[in-house]
Amino acid sequence: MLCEVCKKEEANVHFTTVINGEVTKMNICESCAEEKGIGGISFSKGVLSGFPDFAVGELLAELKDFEIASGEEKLKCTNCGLSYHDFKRIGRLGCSECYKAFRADLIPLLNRIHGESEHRGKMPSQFNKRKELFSLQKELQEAIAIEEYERAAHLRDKIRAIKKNQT
Amino acid sequence: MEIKELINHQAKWLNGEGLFAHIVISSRIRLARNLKDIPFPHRAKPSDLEKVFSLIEDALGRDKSLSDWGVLILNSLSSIERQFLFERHLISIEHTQKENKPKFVVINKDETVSIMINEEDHLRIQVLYSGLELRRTWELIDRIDSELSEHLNYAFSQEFGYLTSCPTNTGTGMRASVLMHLPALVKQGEINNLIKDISRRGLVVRGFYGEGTKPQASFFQISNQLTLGLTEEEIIDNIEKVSTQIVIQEEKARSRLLNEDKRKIKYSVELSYGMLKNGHIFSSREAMNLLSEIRMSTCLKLIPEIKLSLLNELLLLIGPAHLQLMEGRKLDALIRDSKRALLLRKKLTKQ
Repeated sequence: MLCEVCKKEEANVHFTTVINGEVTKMNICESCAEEKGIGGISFSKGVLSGFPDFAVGELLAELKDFEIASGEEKLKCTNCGLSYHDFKRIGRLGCSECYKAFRADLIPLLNRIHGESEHRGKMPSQFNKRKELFSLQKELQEAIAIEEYERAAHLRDKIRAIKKNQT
Repeated sequence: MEIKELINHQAKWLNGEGLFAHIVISSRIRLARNLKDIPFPHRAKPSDLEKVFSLIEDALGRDKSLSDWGVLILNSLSSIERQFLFERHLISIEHTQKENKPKFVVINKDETVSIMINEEDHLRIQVLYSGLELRRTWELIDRIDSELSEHLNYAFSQEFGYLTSCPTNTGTGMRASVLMHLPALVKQGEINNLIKDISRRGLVVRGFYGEGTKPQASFFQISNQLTLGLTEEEIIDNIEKVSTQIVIQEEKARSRLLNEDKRKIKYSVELSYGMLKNGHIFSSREAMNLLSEIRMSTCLKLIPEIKLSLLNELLLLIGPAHLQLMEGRKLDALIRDSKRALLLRKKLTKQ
């Protein structure tokens, strides 16, 4: 995609602004972004010139400028007490539960940082087991439904073994 | 564990072995992990953080993938000792800051593994290997992390992955990096374009000491920027591909240097070598530059062979905190510069 400003360079800075409910999407190149000072990107000099260095603080400050406060300022995490307002100010979440409390606002933020908001990587072993348990239980129900009792008994033992290891 | 145990032995990741060790000094992966429900370090009470430590210590005791480890309590170390751990790539600059919260680092005997406790996240697990060995690095860190997760209740969601204090680490919580030595690309003026190219591929370039440091003396750390929406293998693949290409480019640049004017380059490296073996005062920057030159020259056989493991080690030993701990006292800058020159003289003439 070409830059919407200079129409020469490849557009690799993508940003969305919401002003008075109106959504504007822009795709521009790094040098135009630098000129306009947008995109939450800071450019250091010297060997690193032209090289984007992510600054979450700036990203968040930008969100603060563009988004209209729609009651979100009052949002608070019930586990650690961090308010959404403070999260924006310091750029750090307070605890694992903040991800639930601020979920709706985090999704666009994560999208801006990573270009994605869903995890595809490794899982802790408990989650792998939970997944396995879930599919075994489903299989067990199916086996019972079609009266394959021998297979059902085998599946039941497998489920028991996993549950026993968990406790 | 005591700091003294670390000074007198060489960290394994400096041994100059592994793939492309003439250009790739080391491979590093770190994983950010937190415990569920307990506030992240910047918002937790000291008692919470003590609890975090004892939970982790207990889990480590049961972790079969990690043996021979010891713990250091950051608050009971002097500022020089904390700086020493940073120079040794065992803790981050943030972890060296004196703060009113319990901070720890777990280090294994050969310094391949370090685990910072209560830095920005509850756990920052790190594994370091010599050369371009990201896969081996991943295998070990994955095993340690999986074992720990059997005994710890990690903060994790199916949707967002591992939940970290800063949203730039959410997902895999993984930062993988390689530390590269690229003197010929710097000399040939090709490095700026290369850095631009690297950043277009979603990677970040930093300096010898990693996060928060600028590149110096032709040492560049290349790492992933994105942590969410990709698998760990994809992140590693990308860095491995890019760094292999950089290795090829650096090799080409080195042979161009030799072909263009071998006499000139030979004269210049002999001068550097002579300076290192005879100098009496070197700032760490000067020493780093000279060592960089010598490292390339010995690989190109322009000077007699010097073991990569010695040169890699010297890059750490010339650090201000290393010099002061080896001397056993605080030294002002000028004395440090002369101790540094003395160390280089000794180590390079002896071998």
